[in-house]
Amino acid sequence: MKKALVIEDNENNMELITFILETNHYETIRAETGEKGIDLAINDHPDFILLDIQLPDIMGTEVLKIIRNHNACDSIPIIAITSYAMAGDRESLLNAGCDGYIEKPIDPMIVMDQIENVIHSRSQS
Amino acid sequence: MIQYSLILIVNVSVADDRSKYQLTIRVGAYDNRPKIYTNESGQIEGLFPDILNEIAKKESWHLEYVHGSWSECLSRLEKNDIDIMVDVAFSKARAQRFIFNEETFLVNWATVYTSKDIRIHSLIDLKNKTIAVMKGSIHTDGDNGIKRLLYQFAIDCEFIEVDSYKDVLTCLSNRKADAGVVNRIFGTLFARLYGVKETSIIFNPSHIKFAFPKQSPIAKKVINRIDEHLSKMKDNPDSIYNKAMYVYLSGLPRELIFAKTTTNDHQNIILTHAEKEWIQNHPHISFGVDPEFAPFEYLNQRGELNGITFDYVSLMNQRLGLNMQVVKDLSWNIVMSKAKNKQIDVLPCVCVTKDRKKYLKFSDSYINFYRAIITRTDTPFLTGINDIEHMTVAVQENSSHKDYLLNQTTIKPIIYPTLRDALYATSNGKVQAFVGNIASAAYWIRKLNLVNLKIAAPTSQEAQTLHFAVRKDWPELVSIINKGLKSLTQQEEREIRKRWVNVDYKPGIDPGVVWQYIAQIVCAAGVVVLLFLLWNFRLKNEIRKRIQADKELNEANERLKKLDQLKSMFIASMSHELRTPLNSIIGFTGVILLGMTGPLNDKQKDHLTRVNNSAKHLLNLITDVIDISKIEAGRINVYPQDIKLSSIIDEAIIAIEPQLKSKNLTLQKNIPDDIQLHTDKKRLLQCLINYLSNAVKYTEKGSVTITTIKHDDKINISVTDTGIGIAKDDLPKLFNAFERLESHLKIKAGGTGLGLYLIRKLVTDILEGDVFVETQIGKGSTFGLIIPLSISLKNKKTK
Repeated sequence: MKKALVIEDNENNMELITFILETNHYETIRAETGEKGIDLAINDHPDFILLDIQLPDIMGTEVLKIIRNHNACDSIPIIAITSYAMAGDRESLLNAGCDGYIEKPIDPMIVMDQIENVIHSRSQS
Repeated sequence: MIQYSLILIVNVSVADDRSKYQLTIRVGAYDNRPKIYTNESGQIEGLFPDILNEIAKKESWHLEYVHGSWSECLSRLEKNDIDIMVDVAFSKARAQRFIFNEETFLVNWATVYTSKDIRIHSLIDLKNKTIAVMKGSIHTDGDNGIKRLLYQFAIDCEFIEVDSYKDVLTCLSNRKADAGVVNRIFGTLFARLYGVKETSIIFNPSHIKFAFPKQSPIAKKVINRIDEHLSKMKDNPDSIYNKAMYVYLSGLPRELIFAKTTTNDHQNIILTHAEKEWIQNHPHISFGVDPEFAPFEYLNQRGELNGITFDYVSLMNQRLGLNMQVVKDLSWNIVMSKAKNKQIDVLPCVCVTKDRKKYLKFSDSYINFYRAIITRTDTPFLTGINDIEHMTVAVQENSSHKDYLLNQTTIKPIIYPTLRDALYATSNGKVQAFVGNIASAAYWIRKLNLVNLKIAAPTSQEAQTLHFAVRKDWPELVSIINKGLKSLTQQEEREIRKRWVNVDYKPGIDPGVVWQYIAQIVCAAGVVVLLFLLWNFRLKNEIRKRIQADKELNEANERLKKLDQLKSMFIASMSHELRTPLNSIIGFTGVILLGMTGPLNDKQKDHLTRVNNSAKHLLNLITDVIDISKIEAGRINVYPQDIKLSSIIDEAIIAIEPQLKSKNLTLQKNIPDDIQLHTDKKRLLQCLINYLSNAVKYTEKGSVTITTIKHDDKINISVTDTGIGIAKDDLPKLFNAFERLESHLKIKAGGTGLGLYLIRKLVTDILEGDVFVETQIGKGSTFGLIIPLSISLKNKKTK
């Protein structure tokens, strides 16, 4: 069973994403802050990470950089969850080391396809 | 005997209350929304209380609501523990136990409802159907109830008896019954909620009235008043009765009943009981006017009263329920002498003088005028009243000006019976000057063509005030009129003044256009001189005021700047705070709809799809509003990038593909050559998706075509549909906010009403281009945009 780390401060979003993942037979670990997210990313070896880029403590982009630059997890696929208001930042997100992004609102119909596409293309490259 | 004396005591105490202008009435209150109920803060409100309160306010009654159940209230009424019950259906049996008022409050009846897909047109169609009814209701088991009705027609059917009207409609919506019986009010309010359909079958009408105890000492009087108010209110479309009926029976918010309209401002007038009684006891009030006191009051050629005063008198009559009628064909002198002898009751437009105070009482002033000196044009320049002390001065008999000259100056005026005579005397040299009201003097100078007269100077810079005067033994009327005057809004007073001051007073017999113009110019010159003098007097004052105004303007400017910052902050936080909960609604309903949490039945699926779609619609609306606000505040960033035209168009087509497929429309691309653009991809894409989805929305069959044409350094991209087209008249407003044409389309097509406005904003403000539209009604429309191949980024924020 693949393990997903979800870094998301909003309780509702967290429940939604983890529920969809678990229903699709993924194991989930949860981090409500950027700090806890970094800790779990390094120590718990998730297969991929879903990262909300609007976090209360550390900017999502900072979290992204720290995880990406750490030896233990530089190859873990990271998918950013963006909101519409952040549209202009998408290119910079990809430049900062994201493998893909999902735009809110999350559409349960296609979100698993989006996630699996990113993971798949990462493992091929 | 004992009972009789008790009633007497009650009567005495009622009389005592009346002397305090108040009668306390105990009203039975129970819960039966929306007719009567207790709100969150414990107040009794609803259709009946709101209207009863209105009547009580007018009658100075004090209502005391006594709470209980329906049957408790009825038994209290029978024992005379309460004085009145609302919402009681009249029947012969009940008339044995209670007294009813005459005027029916409303007629209630039973209505048959069905679920949406069942067709029932008449009672006959109910044969062999299952009908949900409320147990024990008069519409079920009563003499004219549904059971008896169907029995009489020999129609067989099955009844399901439930406990409430709510349950009746629930039976329909979950298909347990084919038809259901509820009362008219419940039906109109809740049919939509339960998705049921009203049939034309109605029966068992009942007259809902107010009920009173048989032995009530006050019933007769109260019934009398209620009947009169009810019948008046029913006739007046703006009355609380009609508004409350509409609002409650449409399920609208209660506040709407009491929303102010301009026409009911006068409801602010609160007259005391004594004042009302006074008005009732004085059905005829006469008033006298000066027939030549234009533009304030005068009789026109047909002998009708005209002028500012007339408007005021009409308003007072209308608002206070007075009946003031003019006594015509009297000269001003006769009017004054009749007023002294109380043969005329009211003078609606006079100044206060010491002499008049002896026999008249005055209302508050309602209009001002200036007292001026009129001389011939060859008279040397005057500055004020002191300059004419040695002159012969004409004045009108029985005018405030006469009293003024006699009491406050050393001038010994020559008195003329009418204003006209006084002016003629001045004009032909019998006297050297005239003192009088500037407005009426100016009117008569023009009307009589007295071209050798001018307005020379004001007597002082203070304005004279005009009042209603009332015979001295009627002080009540003065306070009543004052209340009426206070109820006038500034707007109303402005309108009256505008009507009479802007009137062009043309001379009755035309003595030649030239003279008329000369007269007008002379008058205008006179007014200018006067204004100049007044201006001098006030200059100092004005400078002080302007310095103050300047200061206030600066402060207002500061406040506006702060508000603008606040608005920007508000929009920024709104974008996140409003979208986050909506994202949850869309996400979770999506999860449930996919069946991830377990199976759903069809109804649940349908309803949840509606929630999901509504949330998505709301999200789009918020997104559009935020985009527009950002553009308008100049806060939107532009991200130009190199992009192929074909790739943007392909992306736009992918976005609307599902809608295209579901309507079976074909899509044609007419793109001769692929071009490299340097523009904001996201915004251009947004515009194209918007155009395309509009085209799909408004097209039922045929095709949608996307065409591009390159002109030098510009590209023209257009979307053509074979839809309904747009009327020429509607084109100018098409790209404005919140404009959608033809109501039936609105309902059918959905959308935010902001789409085209947003496109125009994006194209002109971000993409530096322009939008266009060509259309033919019934054949289709072409919407397009022309933008430069490369954005110049003048005066724009970029990242």
